[in-house]
Amino acid sequence: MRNISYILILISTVLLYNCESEEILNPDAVHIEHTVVQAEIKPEKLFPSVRFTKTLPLGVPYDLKQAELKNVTAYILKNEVQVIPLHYTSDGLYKPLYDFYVEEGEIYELIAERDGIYIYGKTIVPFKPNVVSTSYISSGYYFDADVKSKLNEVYGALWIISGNPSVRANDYYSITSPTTSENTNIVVRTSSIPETYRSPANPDKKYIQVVAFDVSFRKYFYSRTSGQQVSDPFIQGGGAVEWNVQGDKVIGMFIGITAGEIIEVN
Amino acid sequence: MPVKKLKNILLKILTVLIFVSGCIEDNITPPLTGELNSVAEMIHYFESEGDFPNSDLAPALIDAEEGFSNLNLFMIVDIRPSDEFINGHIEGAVNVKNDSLYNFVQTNFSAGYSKIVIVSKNGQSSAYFTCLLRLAGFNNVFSLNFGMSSWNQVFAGELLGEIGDAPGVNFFLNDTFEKNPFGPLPIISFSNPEEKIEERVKTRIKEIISEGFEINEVFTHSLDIYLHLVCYGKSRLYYARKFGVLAERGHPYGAISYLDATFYELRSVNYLQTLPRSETILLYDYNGQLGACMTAYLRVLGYDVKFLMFGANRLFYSRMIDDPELFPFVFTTSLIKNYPFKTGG
Repeated sequence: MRNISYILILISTVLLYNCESEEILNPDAVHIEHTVVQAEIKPEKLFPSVRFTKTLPLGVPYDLKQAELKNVTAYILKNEVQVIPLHYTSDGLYKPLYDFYVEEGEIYELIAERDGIYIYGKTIVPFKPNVVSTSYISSGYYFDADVKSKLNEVYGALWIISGNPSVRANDYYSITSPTTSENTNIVVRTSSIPETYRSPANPDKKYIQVVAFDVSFRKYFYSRTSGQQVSDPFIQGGGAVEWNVQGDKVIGMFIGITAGEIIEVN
Repeated sequence: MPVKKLKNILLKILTVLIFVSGCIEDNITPPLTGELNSVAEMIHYFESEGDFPNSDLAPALIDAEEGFSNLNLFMIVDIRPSDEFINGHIEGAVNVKNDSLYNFVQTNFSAGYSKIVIVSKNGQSSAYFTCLLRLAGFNNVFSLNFGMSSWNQVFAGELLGEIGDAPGVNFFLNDTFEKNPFGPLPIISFSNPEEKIEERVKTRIKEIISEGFEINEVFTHSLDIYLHLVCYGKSRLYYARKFGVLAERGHPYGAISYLDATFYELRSVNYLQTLPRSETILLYDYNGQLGACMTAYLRVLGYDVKFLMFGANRLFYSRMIDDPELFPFVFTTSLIKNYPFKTGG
């Protein structure tokens, strides 16, 4: 019995020793450069630019002139067929040479190459959200909306309060889960409105705007704070942000977004 | 073995496994691999260089007057067969065969000439080669409008004999034939796939120039309605007016309209990819010269395309004469300048 114990200890020691990976950190080599891709594709507007930048080492102040990439070969594949080249303009922005309009429901794929690294992203431009009804939930001081869902889309909502100047929620409270069938009624809510506007006597008009996203936005939304500095000791800061652009050391979002009508909430 | 000892062993094995499994790196997602579409890369390159065939610079014609006034400033490159060159050519012109045309232009591109003017018999092959040379980056290359036919009447016989109304013109119609749905780009293979796109493109253009200007490959004299017919030009080239000569006799059955300036429907963002990649395309334009240029571009991209020599000038000449919108594209005797020429080598 004792022999078995010794053998096990020996095996585990050998295995664990082999696992040890000594990595002496060279301050200059700590930074692993990533390619960053950013684009929001919105319907009924001209195709926007796609921004290609690179991450800069810690301690280097962010400077777009240093971060921008000028040597990317990129094109869009529209609806899985039509090739539309993107050309560098300035500040890392790549645009089609000629204008064209984005339409709801269209599929856009980003295909690019930078120094031999292949970059790929795909998004479907959502349809304008079909809002069936809206309401004010006084118990939580927020608005919600019933939306008829579409496949491959998720939804978020923002509150807007008229006034001079008008104010607007700066983030989404939540992003809905994707549905497996079309026209499912789902509820999307805003964050709570600021205290100043909660009183029934407040004369400002209140609105809700539902925004539809390509389904991949949800994973990004719920993972976007991962890896950030943690100030709350009970929050875990680990995990990776779930980007929808793929490639070796490539991060970023190439995402279709469609804002709905701004609807007054009574 | 007693149960207690067995549990002890199992516990130790479990402990080892936990430690070891912690060392295994999660590498479930395979690295993304892929490559750019080579024709897409070519379109990207051409656009980044100004997209000549889809710009108002195409087909880069200069008239005989301008050529005659600047003989000392321009390099005149005559690409006709040597016997035709010997029979008569512009003074100072150099006779260059198509298989050495690329290298010749490359050598003389920076030689100080303000323009390199390619001259052919009727302006058709010169427009074709000019477009290819422009795509290769030689942006001071031009084609002599209607070639030697506009220089002197001695050379205009063939063109004047070719223009007119086609036998089937009374069967032309004003119906609209829809473009195909969008389809994939052609597939081509480069002879130098490892090189940068600029080098790959130039090599391909060089190869296409060396292939020459073959009848039924690059151009044709007759309208074959069983090919994929493309009318490239203004709307008026496709739809005839409701009155006048050949009223409403717009285009042959099956012809599909692709607008040129200012719509440029063969740009990447427009309808380029509605052209079929697995059919032979027969393209006609006003007088063959813009058509030759677009044919050159499409052939570089891998489309199987040829153009109708002299374009609508040989399909419905009387309608073009009659229509103020089309008249500027008509070859008439007034364009023949009867400038002097030289004979011999």
